[in-house]
Amino acid sequence: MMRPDDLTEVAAAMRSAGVGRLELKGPDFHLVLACGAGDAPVATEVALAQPDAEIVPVAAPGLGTFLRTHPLHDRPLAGDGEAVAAGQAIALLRIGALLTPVPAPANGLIVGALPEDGALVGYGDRLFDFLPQE
Amino acid sequence: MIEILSQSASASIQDLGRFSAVRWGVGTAGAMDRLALLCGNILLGNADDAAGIEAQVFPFEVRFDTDLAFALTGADCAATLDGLPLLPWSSSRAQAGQVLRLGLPQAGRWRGARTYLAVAGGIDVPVVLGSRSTQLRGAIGGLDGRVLRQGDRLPVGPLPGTGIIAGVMPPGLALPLAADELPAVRVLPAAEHDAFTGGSLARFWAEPWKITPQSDRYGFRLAGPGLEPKAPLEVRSHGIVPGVIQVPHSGQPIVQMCDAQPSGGYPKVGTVIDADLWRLGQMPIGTRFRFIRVDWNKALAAREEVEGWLTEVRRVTALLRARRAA
Repeated sequence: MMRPDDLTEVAAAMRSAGVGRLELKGPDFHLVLACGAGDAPVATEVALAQPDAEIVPVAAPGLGTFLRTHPLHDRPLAGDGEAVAAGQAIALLRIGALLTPVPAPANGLIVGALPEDGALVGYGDRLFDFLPQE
Repeated sequence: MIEILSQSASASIQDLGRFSAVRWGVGTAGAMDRLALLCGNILLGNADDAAGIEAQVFPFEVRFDTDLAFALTGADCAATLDGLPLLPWSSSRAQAGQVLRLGLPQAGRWRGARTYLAVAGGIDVPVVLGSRSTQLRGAIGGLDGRVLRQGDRLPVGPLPGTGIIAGVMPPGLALPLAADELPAVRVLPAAEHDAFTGGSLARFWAEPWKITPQSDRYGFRLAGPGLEPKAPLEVRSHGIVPGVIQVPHSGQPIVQMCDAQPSGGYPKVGTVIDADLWRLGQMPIGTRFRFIRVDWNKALAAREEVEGWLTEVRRVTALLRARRAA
């Protein structure tokens, strides 16, 4: 059984190997490790979910250009591994001059995004892996 | 109803301005960034001339007494609704009792000075001389012709029921304008332009100007290289409009803004074009910016560019509304 102290080591190994996301699932645990791109420090957000929690997709509510960051901002609306509240905007779909929000389906964690930032996505496309939490 | 919770807000009720009474000496007032207020009204499905709140001192707080859609545009001030963050340049829904808080304007990729709170139905104060804008000099319009105070409760008009929950690309990013990496506004030379020396005019057009702390809704006093008349200039008092750049004896220009009186006697070196007044109206005190000289045709083209962008905002808003209704 893995101990919390081991996580630092695993995270360092992920960084040196260039692994952005690690997911471990057991009978009584569910662990998601995510780390930022480039030289950013390894994100230490760790999910210890309910045993029956399942990763669910967040689908695009419409067509548009997938943006994880508001055009005025430097930080993403919700980074990988970040906890978000139900209804919170976790990405934007740009259609011409408008930006439509993609809401979080529940309280939970952003596991990771599937499309590249700036990619054109269509209705129903899987945008995020999402881990609902109580 | 919405209730003002902030103690000293210097926020005011504004719409697009009062243009029908200038001939009687009544200044236009109106939003310093009309484009921002208009975007809020478009998202909410309001009439273009629905009134909103212009906030220019932060933090600023209001409480919604009823469930209500609202939009925040203009300066990004890290707004929250009952503590939850809101996106800038976006509409949202509030429930009765929720508190909207506007924090300090953020530096970000485009920095503004004024935030607009538009509500579905508009702020329903009486129309005075064709507008709901607060005219502070004449103490008319808005709420009793004054800035808003703690405890003020503002009525909201009938809900349009055609709004969408979405955001708009900030025009500061969609319609950027810069000169030598400084923000800029375009200017038409005015009647007394050629009465200034060539050297001082060259500096006027080529060097940065700074917005001094003696700047408000009435006018922006600028600091920079200074303008020198070829000979002492005396001009009789005459009609002026927001955007006119007056040159008092100090040589340091004053740009007349929305609360300017409609007449003045200083010589005018130029006029900030109507299409760029929103840019200037959003520049915080201390901003260094440039003037770009344009002719009449370029000024009209700039207006068409803004109109074209607004048409696009309206088109996509209608598209999304239709899709959500389907």
